[in-house]
Amino acid sequence: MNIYKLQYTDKAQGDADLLAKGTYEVVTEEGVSQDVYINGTQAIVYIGKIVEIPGTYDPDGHEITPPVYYPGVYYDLMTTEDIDFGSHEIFPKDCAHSFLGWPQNAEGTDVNP
Amino acid sequence: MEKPSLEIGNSNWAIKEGELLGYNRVGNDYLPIPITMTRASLGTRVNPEGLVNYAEILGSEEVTDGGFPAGTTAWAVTDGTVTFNNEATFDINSKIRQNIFDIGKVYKFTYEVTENTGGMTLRFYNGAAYTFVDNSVGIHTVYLTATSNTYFYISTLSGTSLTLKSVSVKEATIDNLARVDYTDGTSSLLAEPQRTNDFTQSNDFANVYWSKSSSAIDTSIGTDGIQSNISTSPDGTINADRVNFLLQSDKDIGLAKSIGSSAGVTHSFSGYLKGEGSNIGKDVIIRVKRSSGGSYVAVNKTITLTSIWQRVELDPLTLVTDNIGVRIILSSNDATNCLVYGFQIEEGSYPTSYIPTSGSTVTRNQDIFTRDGIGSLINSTEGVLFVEIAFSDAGRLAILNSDASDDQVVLGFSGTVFCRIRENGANVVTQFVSSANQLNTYYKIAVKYKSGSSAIWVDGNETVVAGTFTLNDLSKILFISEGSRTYGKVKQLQVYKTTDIDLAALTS
Repeated sequence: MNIYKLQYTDKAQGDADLLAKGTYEVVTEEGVSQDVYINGTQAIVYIGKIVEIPGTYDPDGHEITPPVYYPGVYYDLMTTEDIDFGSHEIFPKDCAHSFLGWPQNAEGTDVNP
Repeated sequence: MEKPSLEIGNSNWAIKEGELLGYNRVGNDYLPIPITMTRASLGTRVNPEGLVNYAEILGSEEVTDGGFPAGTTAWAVTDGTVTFNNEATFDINSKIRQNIFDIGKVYKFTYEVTENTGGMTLRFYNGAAYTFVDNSVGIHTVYLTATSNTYFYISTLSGTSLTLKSVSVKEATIDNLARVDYTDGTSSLLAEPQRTNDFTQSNDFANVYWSKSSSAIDTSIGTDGIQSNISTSPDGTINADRVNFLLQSDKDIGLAKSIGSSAGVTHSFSGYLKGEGSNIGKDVIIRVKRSSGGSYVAVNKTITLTSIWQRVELDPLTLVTDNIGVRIILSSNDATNCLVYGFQIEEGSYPTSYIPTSGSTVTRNQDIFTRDGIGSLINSTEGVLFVEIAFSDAGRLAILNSDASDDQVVLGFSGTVFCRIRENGANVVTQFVSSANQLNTYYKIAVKYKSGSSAIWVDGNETVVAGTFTLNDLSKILFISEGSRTYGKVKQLQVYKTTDIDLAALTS
């Protein structure tokens, strides 16, 4: 099993690349479209923006300073396939997202089949 | 009455990795018909004892002297200094090991840290690389795969001193395990979608991750008002926290956390609460609201504390234009404290089973059930597909053929329970049952398919389905049809090769 950590400029770019790579297809039935995983995809998780520097808030939750985000948006992909994502693949530590039962920093070739 | 050619469940469940037991009863014999099950992640369920636990199959204990008795020779100290005295106290840059791994197997590590001075880092070696594991005081669990070495190392790096009270290592099967849930005291197969718990500390409320308003939380007690690991939780261990309130009528302040989000996203909250002593019978309030930006939207729920754990589920909240996040707040203007466990906020219109987190958001993958190559158990000319199910969302399951001609007998929920016959990829008939229109409600549904003589039965009531058709080569069963997967709880599923069945009795 492979877990890919992916970074894109925005969600539109990420969705398009994952579609082009054959990780999912869009099935439209009776006017309702759904993303269906194909070709060994176990999960696609859109993480979105990841906070680099947390915002600060008063005790009532009102924002004092806004959070600072890493550039772009992020996805985690779990698949049985080997896929070349080029420069979109990243290898972070202290990952913001993980899969239940998998090490928090499992990614890429570090994860055994 | 004719016996089913295929049965699943009906209080008879057996699972192993990748398979759920279906069966064909011949006389007094049960002939196994395994149903393929896929979910490449761990998952939780409520077990027969009513406890929330992981759906996992564990082997026997691999570690010798996991309690670190004085004088133990089971552990070899290979670096630094480690003192054993019914606990193991590590100096900086110290290592101990045991030769226990089988290469390629997954192991569950459970360990308790009782002291950590100087923020000492803790690592486990899985045969190929070190993995930094939770070094905070408390009981922790981690799953690792043994790769290229049979030795299990426990290692410390920077810091001053760290003490382990115990460590346990067991071989674990965690992926592709069907989950049989006993939430209501009876058994049901869980079929859930992929979901992510967006809280990164789902059960550590003393953590600074959770904000505590000094106007609503009595921060003089415990750690900022939280007494950690103070009581037995719904998972049966002592890891429930107590939240100490200052009576506060403002529902916007309390124990709280904001999560980034955006307009159009729907969030569902769930969590466990329990009362103690004089607070039993008193109320606490959970509010889920937009954190900031745009128009105010919120849902609230008042929970009367009881002496047993309640899983609290709020109505979903959908953010509107310019909302940039969602905020969850627990407060009380009545109770002075309550026990809390397992908070979860997930994107979706309904909550699913608990996904524990500790340091990151965590995803449980979707449950997928399939079985093909059972043409001998399905009659393409006539038959019955029977399911007792509580749908949690719109979805479909079907018996269908194996080639591209796409003949199907479909049973599903789309506003109401319905059935459909597809022939050569086209919908021949679709019949809705308007009275069966509730999600999360168990229905006994039977689809009787026979050209010119079809019907759908729901809870003893028949709706005739008009139409003629010719179906060929029905030979598999899937919990998905036309891209729409079935999610919910399944008590039983049966397939019959004849329509000569007392469907009134079967569905009543």
